[in-house]
Amino acid sequence: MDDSFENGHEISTNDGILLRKGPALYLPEILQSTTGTLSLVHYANNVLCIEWKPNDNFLIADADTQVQDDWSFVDTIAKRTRTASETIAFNTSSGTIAHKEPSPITPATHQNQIKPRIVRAKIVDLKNIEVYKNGHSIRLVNKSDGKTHSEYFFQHGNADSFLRTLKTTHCLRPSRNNRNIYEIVENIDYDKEKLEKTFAELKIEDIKGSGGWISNMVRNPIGHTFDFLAKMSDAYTVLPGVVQNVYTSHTTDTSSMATSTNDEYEVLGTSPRPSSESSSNDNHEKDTENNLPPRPHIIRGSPLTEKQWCEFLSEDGRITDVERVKEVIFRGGIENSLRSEVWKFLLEYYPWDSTKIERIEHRKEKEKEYFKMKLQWLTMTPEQEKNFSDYRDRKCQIEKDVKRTDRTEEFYQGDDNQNLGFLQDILMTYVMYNFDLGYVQGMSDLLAPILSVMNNEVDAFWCFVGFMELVYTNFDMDQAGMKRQLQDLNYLTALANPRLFRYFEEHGAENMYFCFRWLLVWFKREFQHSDVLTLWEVLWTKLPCSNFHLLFSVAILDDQMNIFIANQFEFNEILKHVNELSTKIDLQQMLKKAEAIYYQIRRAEHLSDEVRLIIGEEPSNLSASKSDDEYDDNFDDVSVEKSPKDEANRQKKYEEACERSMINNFF
Amino acid sequence: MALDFAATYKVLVLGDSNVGKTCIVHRYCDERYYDTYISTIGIDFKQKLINLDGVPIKLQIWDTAGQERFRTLTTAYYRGAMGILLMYDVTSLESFNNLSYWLRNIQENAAPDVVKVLAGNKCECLPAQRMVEKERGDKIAENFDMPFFEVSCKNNINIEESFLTLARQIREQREHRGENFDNDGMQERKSGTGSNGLGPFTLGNSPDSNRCSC
Repeated sequence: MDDSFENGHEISTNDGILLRKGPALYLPEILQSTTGTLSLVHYANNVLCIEWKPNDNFLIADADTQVQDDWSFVDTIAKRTRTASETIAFNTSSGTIAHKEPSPITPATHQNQIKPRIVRAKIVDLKNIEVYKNGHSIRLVNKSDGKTHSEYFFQHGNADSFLRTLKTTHCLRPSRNNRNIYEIVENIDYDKEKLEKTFAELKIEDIKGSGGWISNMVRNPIGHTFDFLAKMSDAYTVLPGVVQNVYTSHTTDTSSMATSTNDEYEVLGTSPRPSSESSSNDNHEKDTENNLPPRPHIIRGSPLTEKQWCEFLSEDGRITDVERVKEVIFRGGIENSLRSEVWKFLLEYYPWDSTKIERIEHRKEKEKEYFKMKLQWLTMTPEQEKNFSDYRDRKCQIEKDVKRTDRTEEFYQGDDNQNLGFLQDILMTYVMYNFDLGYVQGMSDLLAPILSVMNNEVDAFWCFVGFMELVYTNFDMDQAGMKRQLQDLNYLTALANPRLFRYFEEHGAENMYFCFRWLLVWFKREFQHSDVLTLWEVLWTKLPCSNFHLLFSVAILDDQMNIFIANQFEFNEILKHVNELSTKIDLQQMLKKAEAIYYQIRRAEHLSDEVRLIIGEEPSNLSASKSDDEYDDNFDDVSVEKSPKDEANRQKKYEEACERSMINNFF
Repeated sequence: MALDFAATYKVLVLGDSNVGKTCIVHRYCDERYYDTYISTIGIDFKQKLINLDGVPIKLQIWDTAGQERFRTLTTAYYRGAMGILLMYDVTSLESFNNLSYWLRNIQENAAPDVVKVLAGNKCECLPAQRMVEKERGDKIAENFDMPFFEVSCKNNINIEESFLTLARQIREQREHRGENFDNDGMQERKSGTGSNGLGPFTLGNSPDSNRCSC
C-alpha cells in the first residue's frame, strides 16, 4: 500500500459488501465471496477514497484441509469478528458504526500486525460509478482507461445510502444520459469539516439499512443460509472449476445443515473468528523467520472449457470479459482442444476485442506478411549467403538445433518428419523478422510446443513472435536480461525465504546460476510436455504479476531448501541437484506455492522499491523510478521512423526496382 | 604422490555447438551413447572417479552450451579449470575453423598454464562426410602444443585416452608447479571449484578462489 494512506478519517461505512470484481491480486477474495465493508475515507491533503476491506483477516480456505469444518466456506462469509452484542448494536442502529475489527487506517493496532487487504480507489481517479442489479451492485470505473476498477455487491440492502453519502459530499452527480450512472465531480474541495458536516446531516440509520442480512439470519437462519448458498453459486458461475470443488461439497451436505445451524449461529454470534494465521498455518509450512504475513492456502481450478469460452464470446465473436478469461486460465489452464484458439489471444496474435470477421481478415494479412518474409530467405542466392556470415551463422545454428528439439515427442519423431521442416522454416523466418536477435539456442525449445499445438506454420510463427516479445531479453547478446532476472530472483528469495538466501550466500550460491535454464526457456526442460503447456499459458496471463515465473522459481527453491541444507550442498551440488529435478517437479503444487508467496510478499509492509518493481507494484518513492532507466540501458531505441525525404528516396528506388523487374519479366 | 590423493581435477569441455560435448561426457562418465540428444542450456557437470596410474582422482567434467551468446556465463567457469578438452566435429569445417576463436577465448579467460587436449569427434563418419582431415588436426595441435585425438562417441573410440591424457597432464602441471611453489597443492581444497588452476601468480588467498561468480 502506498505509505501516504495513513491516518484517514472514515466518513461513512457500509457493511456486508462483497467484492465481485477487482484488481487481479484480489482474486482470492472474489473467489471466496469475502464479506467486507465499503467506506468513504478522507485522508490528509484532501484525498478522498472509496475503500473496501474484508471483515476478517482474509483467509483463503483450502477445501481439502477443512473436513471437520465443512461449513468453513459458509463461515468464511458468515463468521465475523463481531460479538453478539455488536450484532445487536448493529441491528438496533445505535448510531455508531459497529467496527471492532482492525481499522484499515491503523493497521498497527492489529494484534497480528497484518495489514488488511484494502481495495482502494481515489475518487479523483474515477470516472463514474455505475449502479445495476436494482441498486444492489455498483461498479467503479477508472477515469484513465474507462475500465472497471472494482465491483461490489450490497448484501444488506442496496447501494442507495452509500451513493447518498457521496452525493451529499458533492463527489457525485447523476449522469444526464443514464440514470444508473453517477459521474464523479471534478475539482471539488473535499474539506474535511464540510464533509463531516454533510455526513452529520445524513441519517445514520439509513446508511446502515434496515433489516440487514444478519437480522434476517437470526430470524430464519436456515432459509437465509440457503439463500446465501444460492448467491454463492451465482458468484461462481463464471468459474465452474472452482465452483465444483467448493459448492458441491456444501450442497451435498445440506442434510447436516439443519442440525448444525444452531451451532452455526453460536459461532456467528458469539465467537470471534480465530486468527486466520493460526488456522492457515496449521496445514501449512512454517514461515521461515521472514517477518512476512503468512502464506495463504491457494485453490487451483480446472482448465478453461469450450463451453466457458463460448460464453465469453459476444455475438460477433469479441471476447467480452478478458480479465475474467485470464483469471480462469491463470487458475486452471486451458483444455487441450481449446489451446490452439485461445493461445492466439494470449500471445497477442489476435486482439481480444476483434470480431470473428476481423480475425479472419487479420489472419489473411498476417499470412501474407509471413510468406513475404519467408520469401526473403528462400530467395537468398548461394552467393549472397556466402557473403553474409551473420545470416549463415544463424541458419547453421538453427539446422543444428532443430534436429535435436523435442525429438522424443510424437509430433517431432522420425527422421523425415515434416514438422521438423516447419520448425526450421519458422525459425528462419523469425531471423528475417528480427535479424538483430536472430536465432539463439533455446528459441527452438520455445517454438516447438507452440507449433505442436497450432499445427499450422503461419499461426505458430505469429504466436512465437508473441512469446518472444515476452522473453526476448533472455537472449540479449550480453545476457543482461538473464543477469537481471537472476538478480531479481535473488531479491525475492532473500525476502521470501531469508534462511535459504543466507544458506546460498554462505555456500557460494547467491548468483543463482542453477536457475539459468529455468528462466531462459521458461521451465521447458523441467516438465513433461503437457505440464509445459499448462505452465506457459498460466504465465502468459501475466497474473498476478508479469514476473510470476520468478516467484515460481522461488517456490521450487523453497520446496528444495531442506534437501540443500540437510546435505550441506555447495554450489556445485545445488546445481547438480537442480538440474536433476527435471520432470520431477509437481506443477500444481508449485503454482500454489508460488501464488501464496506472491500474496505473502505483496501484503508485506516496507517492501523495497526493487521488490515492488519486480512484483509489478509502483515504487513507493517515485524518484526511484530511475532504476527503470537502468533496465532500459541495454536496449538502444533505434528510431525506425524515416524523414519524408528518406521515405521519398526509398519509394523512388522501390519503384525503379519494380520497373526493372517488370522489364525482365516481359523481355 | 600423496599430493594428489583423492584430489579433484576440474575439466571443461569446450567447442562449437553440436560437436558432441554432452555426448562425450555421457559416454565417458555413464558409459552410454544417446542417439537422440538435446542441446545443452546453461551448464552441467558430471564426476568420475578414475584410477590414474594407481592414484584415485576425481574428474569433474563441466559441460557448457556451445553458442557464443552464452560465453558470458561459461567464462565464469574457466576460472577454476585445470584442464580443457577442446572439441570440434570432423564433419563440420566450421567447427574446426572456430578453434582459433576458442583458443583465443581460453587464453583470455583461463589460467595461463591450463592444460588442453584437442579432440576431433565423429571420426566414425563415412569418408564422404568428413570435412576435416586428421592432418589438419595434428597441425593445429602441434602449433598450440596440445595432445590430439580423433574420437568417436558413437563407437567409443579414444574417449578414455583423451580424458586420461588430460588428467595426466594436469598432474604433471601440478607437480611442476609444486616444485616452484612449495605451498601449492598442499592447500586444503574443497570439492568442486578448487583453488587450484588459477595460475602461479594468483595462488594462495584469492578471495574468489572458491566462488563461481562472474
